[in-house]
Amino acid sequence: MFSDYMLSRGRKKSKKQEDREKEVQQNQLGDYEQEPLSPVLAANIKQLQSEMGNSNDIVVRELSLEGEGGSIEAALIYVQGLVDEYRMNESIIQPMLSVPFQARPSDPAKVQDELKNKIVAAGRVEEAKDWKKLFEGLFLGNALILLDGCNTALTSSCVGGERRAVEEPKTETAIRGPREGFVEALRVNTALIRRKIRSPKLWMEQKTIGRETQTPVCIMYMKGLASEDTLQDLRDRLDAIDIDGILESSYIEELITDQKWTPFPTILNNERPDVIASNLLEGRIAILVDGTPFVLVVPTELNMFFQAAEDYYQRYDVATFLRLLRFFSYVLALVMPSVYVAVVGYHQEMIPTPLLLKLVAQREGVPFPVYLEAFIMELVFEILREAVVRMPTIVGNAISIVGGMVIGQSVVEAGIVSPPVVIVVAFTAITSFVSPTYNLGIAARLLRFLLLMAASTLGFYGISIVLLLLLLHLSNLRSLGMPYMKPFSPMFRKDWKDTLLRAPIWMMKERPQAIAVDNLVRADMDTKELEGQEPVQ
Amino acid sequence: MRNCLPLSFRRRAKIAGAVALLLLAMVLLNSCWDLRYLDRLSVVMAMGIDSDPTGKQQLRVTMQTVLAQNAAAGNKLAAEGMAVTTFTETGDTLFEAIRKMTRKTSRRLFFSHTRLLIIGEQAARKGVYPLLDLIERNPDIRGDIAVMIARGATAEQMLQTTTQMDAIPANQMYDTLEINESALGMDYMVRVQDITRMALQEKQQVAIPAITLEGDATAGNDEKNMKRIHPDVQPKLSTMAVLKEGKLKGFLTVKESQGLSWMLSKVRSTVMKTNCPDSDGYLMVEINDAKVKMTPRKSGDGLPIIKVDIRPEGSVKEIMCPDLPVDKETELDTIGKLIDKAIEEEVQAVIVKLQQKLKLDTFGWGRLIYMQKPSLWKSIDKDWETVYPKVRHELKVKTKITDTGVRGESIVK
Repeated sequence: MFSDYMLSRGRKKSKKQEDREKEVQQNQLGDYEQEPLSPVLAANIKQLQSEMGNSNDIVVRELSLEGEGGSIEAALIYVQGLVDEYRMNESIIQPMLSVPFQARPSDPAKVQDELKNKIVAAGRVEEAKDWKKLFEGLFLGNALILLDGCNTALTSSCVGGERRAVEEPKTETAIRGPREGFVEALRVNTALIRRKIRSPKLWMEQKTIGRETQTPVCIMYMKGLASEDTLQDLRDRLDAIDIDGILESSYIEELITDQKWTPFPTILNNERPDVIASNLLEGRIAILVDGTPFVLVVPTELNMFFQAAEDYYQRYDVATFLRLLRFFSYVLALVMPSVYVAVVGYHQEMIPTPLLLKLVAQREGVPFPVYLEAFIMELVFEILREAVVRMPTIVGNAISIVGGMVIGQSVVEAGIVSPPVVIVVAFTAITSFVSPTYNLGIAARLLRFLLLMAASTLGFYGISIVLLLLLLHLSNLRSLGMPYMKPFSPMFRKDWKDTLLRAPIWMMKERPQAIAVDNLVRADMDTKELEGQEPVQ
Repeated sequence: MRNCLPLSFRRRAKIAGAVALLLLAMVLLNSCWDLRYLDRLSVVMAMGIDSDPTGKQQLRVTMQTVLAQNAAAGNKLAAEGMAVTTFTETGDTLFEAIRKMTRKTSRRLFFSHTRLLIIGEQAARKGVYPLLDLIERNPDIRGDIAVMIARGATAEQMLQTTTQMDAIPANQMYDTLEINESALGMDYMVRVQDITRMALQEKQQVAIPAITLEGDATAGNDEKNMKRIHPDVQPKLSTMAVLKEGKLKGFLTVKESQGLSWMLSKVRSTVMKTNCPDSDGYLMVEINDAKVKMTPRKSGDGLPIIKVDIRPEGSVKEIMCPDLPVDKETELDTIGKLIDKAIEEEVQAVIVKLQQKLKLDTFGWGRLIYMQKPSLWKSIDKDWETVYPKVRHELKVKTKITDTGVRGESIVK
């Protein structure tokens, strides 16, 4: 689908587009990419420094290596802050200076081999044959070793520098469950998943995306569980991305998503390794992007966005209740203001008489019609929310006090807005926070306004039209080619065990049919046997 | 999968734009059609219909509407004043009178919450069917409005009487009927839709509860009435009124009314009074459950016999006579027999009144035969009018006394 879109863009090339493409090509740093290094060390250093505009975080340490047959000029190049300098001293500089090489200095290639295989004590030493590889290694935090007379460079790993430690995830906290969350470093993140799934079947593919940022992106999946078609589709989509920078996984999310015109998220993001691991075990694919703790999961279903990690760590009956509560409050968050407007504006006969009288009395003398009132209050609430989110915490408190006082009290007391609207808006706000995934909550925020509009013009009729359209829309959505409304449409009755309800784990013996292609058996045990055990006397 | 997105991004954007424009047009052009502002509505709680006393027009219609700002208790903005107000107009039809009221009302009368229809005695004698058509025909008015007949007062007076327990008089009258039905069963609620259904079936006559004013009827329309400990006048539920083809024929006595409730299985809970078995004084039994079954049967002379089987269940709740050993099982049976007799008396009274005197098939015997013995009905269908008074009945009451409350022996010696 995505490639379709790229193709259709490519087919009709206007003059404007051609110009743009030319410009893009000029801007690319691709010129040096295939260019080999010069055998002269000084020339290489000079070119590197000029390419980088003499940026002073590039450290060039020139060394003279002693060998049995004489000395050779060398240079150690690294980016300050990206490498662990202490470790670099220990494992690279010290051995290079203290251990004399055996090869003749007139044969630098031999010397380099010796360095690579014997002397340098770093974990991963690789040969970089052209400038592209050289820069890649440099910016990933490796130290480069260049030898005079050698037209390749060695990149030896000593990645370091300041990074955030593994902490408890901020977005999805659980009362019970693992406390660790992903961090910004890709390697740490892959390790966190590996620590959960200790299986050779956990495969990983790495790509570098972003012309300038050269961001490492990693696809993780369980070989044999994830569908090969889906995987290939994902690879194609990732390969089609051509953009200067990937700063967050949201870039990838937006670029590979199936439908662009939808408020609903079709790709799940999460910062909990346990959630990602459980999704991998279901046969889904994880996309890890360096520089962000948010890992993407494809393909997704609407249902997944209502599942919290904690559902699986609490008893199934409690978890089921909480999940039903979540669905219920999501529906409330979506329709409550519009139902209020519809009932009060069009369907007064539906309100119980005492409540109607109360509402009439409350609305007495309120200057705005009910729909305008609801609109204003919803808007005010959204503004408040946005203000509080963006402000520093200290100022945020002040805003919430002002907001609470102005809206909660003064507006009502002055009779400008009727109290029931404030109650409805406040309650809707609370219900909208119940959604465990933030981006699904945002969808409700947007759709609420659409529903409000429909309700204020057509009443319940309008609400049902919008809800029906929404259902159609949802049934049409795809996540990496997979229907979004699975397992409801198309129907996979067996997968219903983990949708509205959360069945006990001993009942979910099979993986979701909708995702895992074959190899469905998740648990192969006779639960009767477990139950029937005699108590130990 | 490839066919999922046949349109290019650009086309889709264009279509989305067009749809958005249309939606906007829809919103702006229909300008909230049929939107009713809540604060522009006047909620009608009860309707009253009398015959026009001047005789110029057919009807005199009274609407009791709520003044919400006064009615909603706990509202800070509430002004001092009555919770309701009434509007009265005359007209040949209900709708005419209602539309005439727009000369007085600043808000639109809103009938969706109307729960009570009071029909004046005179208007009821002329016939209630024509008065119900508007309610049944109009989608904005509910069919489950309770109907009452004003006895000894006009419907207008009923609706203009202030009440103490409930600031809205319509609510007080409605709730009184509900309470009476569930706790005593003298009257039972009859809704507009019940009357319509019976009228269409043509085999059962309608009975409607009646309500009257106790006290000085003219003193009701005053705040003072509400502010006294004992009000000068208050609405009081009367007995059931019986109608023939929608025309009021008379009122039952309390005993007959209770009997009618028994017959129609409307009794959910009631109390029965009886003399003590061996001494002076009375005892009371509260009936908690009653099963009533009427079955028709053909007798030798070709006339139907209706077997009425009533099986109440209750407990002794008050004993005001000495030396009654209620802890004895046999004594309970004796009491049960006495209660049987008391119920029988009530039922017999209403059968005599309705079948013999007024010749009204309010019990629905005709319908019962039609439903259960169609062949028998065919033979008497044409002259049911004359057959009905001759229909015999077998009454069988069997009361079961389950307990004597939380006390055994009485302290009355």
